[in-house]
Amino acid sequence: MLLDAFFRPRSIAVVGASREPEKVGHRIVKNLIEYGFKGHIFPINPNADKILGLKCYKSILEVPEQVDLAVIVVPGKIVPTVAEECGKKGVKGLVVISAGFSETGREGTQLEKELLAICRKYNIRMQGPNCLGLINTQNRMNATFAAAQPSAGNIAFISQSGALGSTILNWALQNDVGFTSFISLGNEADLTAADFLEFLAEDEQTRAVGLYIEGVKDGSHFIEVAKKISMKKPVIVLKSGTTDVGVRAVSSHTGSLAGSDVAFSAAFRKAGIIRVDRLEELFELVLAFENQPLPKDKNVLIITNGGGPGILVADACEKMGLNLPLLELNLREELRNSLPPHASLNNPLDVLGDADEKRYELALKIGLKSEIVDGIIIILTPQAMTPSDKVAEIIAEVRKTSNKPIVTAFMGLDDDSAAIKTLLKNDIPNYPFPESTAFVLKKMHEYTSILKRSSREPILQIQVDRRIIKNTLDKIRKDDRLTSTVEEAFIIAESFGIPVPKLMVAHSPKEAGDMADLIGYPVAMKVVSPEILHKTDVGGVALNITSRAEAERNYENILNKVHSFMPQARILGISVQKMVPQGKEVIVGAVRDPQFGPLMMFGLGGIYVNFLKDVSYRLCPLTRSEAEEMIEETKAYTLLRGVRGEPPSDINSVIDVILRISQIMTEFNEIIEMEINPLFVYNEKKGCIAVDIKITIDKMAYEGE
Amino acid sequence: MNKKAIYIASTKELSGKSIVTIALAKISIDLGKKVGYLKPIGLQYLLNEKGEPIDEDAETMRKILNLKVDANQVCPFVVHRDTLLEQFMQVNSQKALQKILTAYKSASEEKDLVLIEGPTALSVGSYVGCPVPKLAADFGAQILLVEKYENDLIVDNILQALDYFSKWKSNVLGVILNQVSSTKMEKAKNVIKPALEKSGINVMGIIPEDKALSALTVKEIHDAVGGKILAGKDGMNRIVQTVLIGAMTPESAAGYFRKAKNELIITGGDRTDIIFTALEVGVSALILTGNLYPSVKIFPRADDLRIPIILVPFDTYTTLQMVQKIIGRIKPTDEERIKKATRLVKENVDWKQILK
Repeated sequence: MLLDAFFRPRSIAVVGASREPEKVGHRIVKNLIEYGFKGHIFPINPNADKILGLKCYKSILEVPEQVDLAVIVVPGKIVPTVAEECGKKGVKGLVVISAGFSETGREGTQLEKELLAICRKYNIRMQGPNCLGLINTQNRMNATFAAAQPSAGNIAFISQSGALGSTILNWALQNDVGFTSFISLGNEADLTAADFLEFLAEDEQTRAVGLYIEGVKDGSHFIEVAKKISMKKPVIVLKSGTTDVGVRAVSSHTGSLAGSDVAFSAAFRKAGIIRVDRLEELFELVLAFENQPLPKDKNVLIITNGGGPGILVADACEKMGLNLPLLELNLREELRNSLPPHASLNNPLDVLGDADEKRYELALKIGLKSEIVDGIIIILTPQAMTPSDKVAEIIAEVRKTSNKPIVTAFMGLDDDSAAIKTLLKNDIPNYPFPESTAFVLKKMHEYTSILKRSSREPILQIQVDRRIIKNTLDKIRKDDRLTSTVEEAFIIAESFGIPVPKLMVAHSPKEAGDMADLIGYPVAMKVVSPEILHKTDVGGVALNITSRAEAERNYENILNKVHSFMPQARILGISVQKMVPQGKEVIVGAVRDPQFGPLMMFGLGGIYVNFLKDVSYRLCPLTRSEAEEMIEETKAYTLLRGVRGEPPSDINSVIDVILRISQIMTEFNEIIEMEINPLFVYNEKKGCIAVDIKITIDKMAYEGE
Repeated sequence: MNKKAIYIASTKELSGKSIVTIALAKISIDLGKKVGYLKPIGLQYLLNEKGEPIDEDAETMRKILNLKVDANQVCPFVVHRDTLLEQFMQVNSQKALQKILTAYKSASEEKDLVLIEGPTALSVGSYVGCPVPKLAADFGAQILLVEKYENDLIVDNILQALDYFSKWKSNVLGVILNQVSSTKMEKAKNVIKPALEKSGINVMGIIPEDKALSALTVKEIHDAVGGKILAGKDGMNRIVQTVLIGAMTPESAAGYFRKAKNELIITGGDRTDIIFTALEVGVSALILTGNLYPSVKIFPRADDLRIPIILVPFDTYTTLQMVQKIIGRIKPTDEERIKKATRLVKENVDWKQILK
């Protein structure tokens, strides 16, 4: 299997092993020995005979046996030399712990390139450089210099940050979370997050993957790989750099474009990855996904011995979009017969402050029996009459036969208490604060929907005359422009079947009059200039023109106004277009993200668009259901369905436009941005029309000419 | 008179006289002619290495034509537009004219053609009795107007000039319409040209606008602004056509940067996000202001992409002003631009008629 040399090596050399206990080169040998690696360990150090009782070699070339994996901890500058020797020795994998590479600037980048070239020459794969190492608990291999020795379990963890990685190892130990493997990515010169995900997809023992990243190396490859693994096991990602300040910090830290956060969100969605915003949430989810079955749907039963916490969780569930259904009548009867008369049989199900383990057991079993409940939240507040340890034991017992997720919030208890220990030992995710339970169930349900999502849905492919579009794009290039005129944009849109109004471009007042006569009144007139982005702001727009004389006058008027606002702008003419009736205004646009490719945008139109930020994003190419979701996610959806007795708008026609732009963006790489603003949407079955369209072409398409 | 003299002049500044002058010189040399050059009054004030004031255009021509004469001979009067009057007050009209005529005489000796380049406007030199039409008449030179066509006012301007020329009985060869944008080309040919010819002046050529000709290179900007080149040295010959300030979020920056071509980005050295966005979108160069050293991680990328990154001590506004100042004054000093200018004139101007 790919990456076997990393996860199942028969022998490991530690180049740069050290006798001094405080050195990284010592710690790694020690970790390998103490964690119980069964293969051969060869410390390499020219100045030592023995390290930690193992025979030491002066060079890897002197090792008498085959070496599968080499962990390198020598100073950065000599890593290429060591890698060269490893190549000659026939080593298959390198874990380069050493720093001093691309993270340090120009010389480091050069050094990293050199190192990579050596790896390619000998066909060696490399993890790092500048990483913490890796752990595989399945063969007791700890090739890191971390202080913690994690226990075995079902979670794999990949971290771009070494520091965060070691923190997570410590946390896992405290919370009894077990790992299958732990991977620190470092600079990802060769092996990237995607490569490790590909491996973990095939690893039977791994049930869920946690991922901390700041950016990705190859966006589209990452998505492809993540799509596959997320169909087999959940991948939970924590990505930093979500704010402007964070993005800046990530750029400085990783030395690459952090990329827009909306693009990342869209990418994760496309890949079926579950995204969290906080480290705490990542921990919470890892705990839940480790051993719990998935909820079939989003119906939750809350069992509590306190009213307040029960309501808190009920609120949280509601906000997260989870349902709190009433239990079936017969089950409520059953409860009625066994619980005190003042117990609340609604949801939350209140077993009262004096509840003992029997009451909890009864409620839990009823919940499991119910056909409508998909997941159960158990809340326990410390009460004199409630023996928390016994309740924990009951839950542990019942859970063994459960096919529904059970999460608990045993509140106000000491971490060392018997109850908490019992829960942890029996793989029941317990949270000190009750809202977390709602959060994890919601995210688990999100994963259920990802699995249900049909990956076979076809992508719309309409037949178009590509020559028309090619010619139009060529014309823009020949004119040495980056932006299309509205006329050109209309030609491209129209050839893809996007409805546009009749439009012509005039070059004299007389022409404007002739064109207006031909098109039919009323017409709108707008300045055509590649330099002017906001035509209205510079007086470049005249609406509702109803006569020839008016059209001629406005030609001059627009020229004058635009000239005084922007004397240097190139004016390619004045467009004369048919005034179309006002519809509901929406925006449909797309921009090519440098990492993930074309990103579709949909939102409410008009002048408040930048302020309201009522927009949704998806990565192209889009399926029809993705286009539907895009619309449904926004407030524009409510508006399009009609408010206060308005008739509904033609949402299908908008979906159509979204899909067609998705196809344009997917087919024509040189288009880097495209925006219809506004798109007027009319009543059902009456369609929509693009009033203005802007297309920007990639200036890189000019390079190499 | 068998010696040909052409006085290239214009009614307004920055019309592209130098380009036409250089091109006509090049064409004539290729035809085997001996070409002389004179700029009677120079306003492109510059100090040479000896500390003497020289005219920048005249210096360029002196080098192109390989003239073995002193700088003050190709341009007898180098004046500064802020102190011009004080300088002219020191000479009387008679002496001034004499000085210019002497210079003309030496410039035209043993030459088949003399190209005389006018000052920024026809009127310059009037105080000392040496405006363009008067000198043209005295030299016996034909005036060739070079005018930038921006709007319809050009016609009235030229007619006013003709009126002025008739006062001095100077000989007018015709006019060249220069820097005509593609959108105005049709009108220039079908409306402006007939209108001018009807009023009695020949339109000898219509030269289309060429962005590359009026663009600076990163190196030229660096020469003017100074600063330390941190990375991307291989890209110093990139062309700069637009200047943008990077002070927004990276996302909106990407939108702006994408819509501009060959742009120079001025931003703070601490804006790593903007710098990466700019590198990713593909700009001509970056100037980082405030002596704020950026993250070293950007250097290898900039080197790879050959996008120069220049660090300056000034604030963004000052830097922008410095760059703007040089962007308006572009000199066809390098081979590439001279070739381009010559080709442009050859293709769009009736040079045979002009040189006849």
